[in-house]
Order: sequence, then structure tokens, then C-alpha cells
Amino acid sequence: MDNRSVPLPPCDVVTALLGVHGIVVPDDDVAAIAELYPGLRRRMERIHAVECGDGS
Amino acid sequence: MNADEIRRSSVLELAAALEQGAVTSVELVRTYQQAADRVDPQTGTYLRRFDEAARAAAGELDAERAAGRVRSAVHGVPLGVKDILATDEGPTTAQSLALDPAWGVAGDGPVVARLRTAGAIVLGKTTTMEFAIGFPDLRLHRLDDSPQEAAKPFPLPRNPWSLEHWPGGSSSGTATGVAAGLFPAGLGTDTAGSIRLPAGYCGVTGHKPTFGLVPKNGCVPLGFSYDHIGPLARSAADCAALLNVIAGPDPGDDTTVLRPVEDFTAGLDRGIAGLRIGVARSVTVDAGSASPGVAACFEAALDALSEAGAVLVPVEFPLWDELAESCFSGLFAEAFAWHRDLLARRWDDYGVDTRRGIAQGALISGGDYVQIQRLRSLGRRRVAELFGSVDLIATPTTGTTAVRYGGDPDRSARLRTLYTPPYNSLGLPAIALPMGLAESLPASLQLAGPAFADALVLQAGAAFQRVTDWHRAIPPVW
Repeated sequence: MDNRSVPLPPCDVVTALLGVHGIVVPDDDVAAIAELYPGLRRRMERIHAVECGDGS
Repeated sequence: MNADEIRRSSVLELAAALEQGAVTSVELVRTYQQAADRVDPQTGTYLRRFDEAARAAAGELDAERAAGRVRSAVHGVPLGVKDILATDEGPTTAQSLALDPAWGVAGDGPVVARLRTAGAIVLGKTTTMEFAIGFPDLRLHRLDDSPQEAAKPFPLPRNPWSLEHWPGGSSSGTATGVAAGLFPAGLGTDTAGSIRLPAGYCGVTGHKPTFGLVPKNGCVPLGFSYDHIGPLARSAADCAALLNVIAGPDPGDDTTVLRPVEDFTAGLDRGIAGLRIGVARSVTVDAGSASPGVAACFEAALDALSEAGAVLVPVEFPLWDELAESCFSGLFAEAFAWHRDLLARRWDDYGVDTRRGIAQGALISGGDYVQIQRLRSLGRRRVAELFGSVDLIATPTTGTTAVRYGGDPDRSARLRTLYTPPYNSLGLPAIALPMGLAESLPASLQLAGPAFADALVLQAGAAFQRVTDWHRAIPPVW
């Protein structure tokens, strides 16, 4: 199984990740931040795809 | 000098006029203040003006000059300072209601202090985006269809070339002030392009120094490993003059590099004959992201560089897209670290887009952030190899001209055509130089160099501006 393909529950992710820092966010903000999440993950996956070698 | 001559002059031209007795600092301050009375309500350049303090400083600096003491090339020259940099005269807001008013009360940060010690006069604090992030929140200014927010006491910066257009950000006010003749130069900051983008959109010159050359303490941070403080001015030569003053390590910023500060003006007249300039078309104009008008200006700029003696070499820039993407992702992670407690306490005081943007940083894991740093490390090695075959690299600064406020269907696409962020990821010096008009708005050339080759970048910029005159163009709002 490729864990990267598992659908994420974005609003829950946003609420939890901000919550651990003590940041409680209104629902409309959670929804808006969650909309940013897929794009952020795609960018990060492209960055992870770069083979940086043992020297980095 | 009459008022129009003063407002068209560069820092170095004003320094010469002051030296010759053709003008006084008091006259300069009065001229710029009178111009601001008329122009600033249109351009939204200032958050706060320090009129009385500037007049007093000018009088004292004129008296010093009369007594035979001249501190530097900027002695008696008025400047604008972006309102995320601490100054003695007043509070720093970062254009946000969330920032603690006590931030910056200790007074001038090192860079402002160095300019003041060198005899510069701070005319006021200039507009930015909230915490130097993103695009203006148009809900505050009734330029968007979204529900309106409560009014906040910050002006909307407008482009002197067209008041319907954004001047770029986040060093918006410093760029509009130079473009509209409200001061000859000023300070900005650049985390993903925030000096070079507004310089490009407003038709002025802006230099992002090498990371570690200019101390960042006394500046509200955005991304501590991406932030740079640097000058915006009419010319590359002026940027060199300001960099001479602000460069050098400071114990309050341990990312500054302990190395002797060179004279960045010393090589300005050397020209670029034989200099190898790599042209990175494949990641910019040939990638389909540049408008035809900007692409045409870029080709004309390359012709000018060639006529000045440069040898143009096509290059493939390694990891360009990844370095750009890692800049935005990394800076949000770093911004979240600084803003975390403030977001918890004052979420509602942030602008909607600002808080949502910074909160993205909480979604970046430790592994993500480390990979970003690994990529930057690899990128620095690969680009250093590229600089083994060329001296500088040329691209446009952005692929399009300025974004129109309100209802611009291409806004998102235009904002994705920044060619500036890779140099923030790499920490390399890069300068934005006016290179013509496209669609009646300024287009900009970007020249970048190896780490700590700021003098060479500025030398090439000065050479380009000896064979072009776009940096002397005056906008319609004047």
C-alpha cells in the first residue's frame, strides 16, 4: 500500500495541527486553510522527489 | 535646483549637488514633503511621516556640512523606510493590528542606525503588505466582492504608473515613493521577491543582497533564513551607495557573515566587456509564463547588455521550480514559528488572507522542512557549478507587468510568474533593473550572481543603465 495515496481528511488535519499549538480557528478559516492543503502537499511531494544525495 | 530637478535626481546626483552647494538638505526635505502632500493621497506611499523630525535633522546636517563635516555619500539625503523596520521616530506596525505596539520601541535597528549615522534622513515609514505577505486584502478597501471587513488604518498602495494597478509588494511604499519622486531611495525587505517585485512593477531599481551581508535584526521577521534587507533607488549606483552603508555583520544577527565590507561603488565604472552572462530562458520566457510584451523587453535588454560588451550564454538553471516552491513552503514554516503565539492570542486581529497563509506553516512537517533545507543545500552546490561557466545570470524579474486591482481575471496567473524566489532559497544577490514598458507599465530585468558577488551585480546593473535610460522614466503620477 502506498500511504501517500491515502485520502486525508483536510479539515481534521488543519484543526489538529493548529490545535497542538494552542491555536483554535473558526470553521470558515479551517475550511479555507484546508483548501490550501492539497496544493501545499503537491509542492512538498515535488520537493521530496528530488534526490538530494548523502551530502545534503 | 528646482523641485522637479530634485525629485528626478538620484542619491549620488543629490550628494554632488549638496557638495557643490546647489541645494541644502532642508530644501530637499521641504521639496519631498510638499510632493508627498500632493502625491501620497494617490499612491498610498506612507504609513507615517516624520515631518518635524526630518526638518530638524536636515537643519543639523546642513550645519555640519557648513562646518566642514560630511559623513558619507548619503549625508543629508532623505529616505523612506519600510514599516517593518524599527526606527527611533515611532512605532512599527508591519501594517497589522496584531503586532504588539511595543515591538521596536528600542529604536533604530542596525540598518536604519547605520544610515542615520551616515547622515541619511528618515522621511517616514512606508506601506507594505500585512507582515510583508501576499497581496493587499481588497476586502479592506472595497475593491472586492467579498464581504467587507472592518476598516483598518492602512492605506492601499497604488502604482504611480497606473493607480488602478498594484505596485507590487511587499516593499510597496518604498517603491512607489522612489518612482513618484517622494524620496530618491529607501529600504525594503525581500523574502521571495519583495524588493525586486515592487521595483519591477514601479520601474525603479532594487537590490537583494547576498544572505548574511546585511543584518536583519530590527526587522519584523517573515522567514528568517529567506529574509533580506536591501535598497530600492533610481539606479544601481545608488543601491551600491546605500549598500556601502548598511552592509556588515551585527552581533544581533548571527546569520551575518564576518567578512570585510567592500566598497560596492568602486567598480561601478568598470563596465561589462567580456563578462559572461547566462541567459535562463527555459525557466522563464520559454516556459510560457512571460507575456509577449515582457519577453520583447527582455530581448531588447539582452541586446543592450551585448552591445555593452557582455557575452551572452544560454544556460539551464538547475532545480528552478523546486527552489521557487521550496521558498514559499519554507518561508511559511518559518513565519509560523515566529507568529505561533501571536496567532493563538490575536487571530481575529490578523487580516483574513494573512492568518490563513501563515497558518499553512503548521501543516508542514519536520520531515518536509528538513527536505526543503536539503534541496536548498543541493541547489547551492548545483548553481555554484553553473557559476563556474558564467559570471551572472539574466532573467526578467517577473513574467508580467503589474497586477490590476479588483476583477483582474489573470491575477493569480500573474502572481505565479515571479522569477525571484529561487534566489531567496539560494541566498544569492540579485538586482531588478527597469528594462522598458509593456502594456504601458514597467518591465524589469533581473541579474543575479554568486554569493557575495554583490559588487559585480551592481557593476553590471550600472553598465546596463549607462546604455539604457528606462531608470530615468517618470510615471504619470508625479
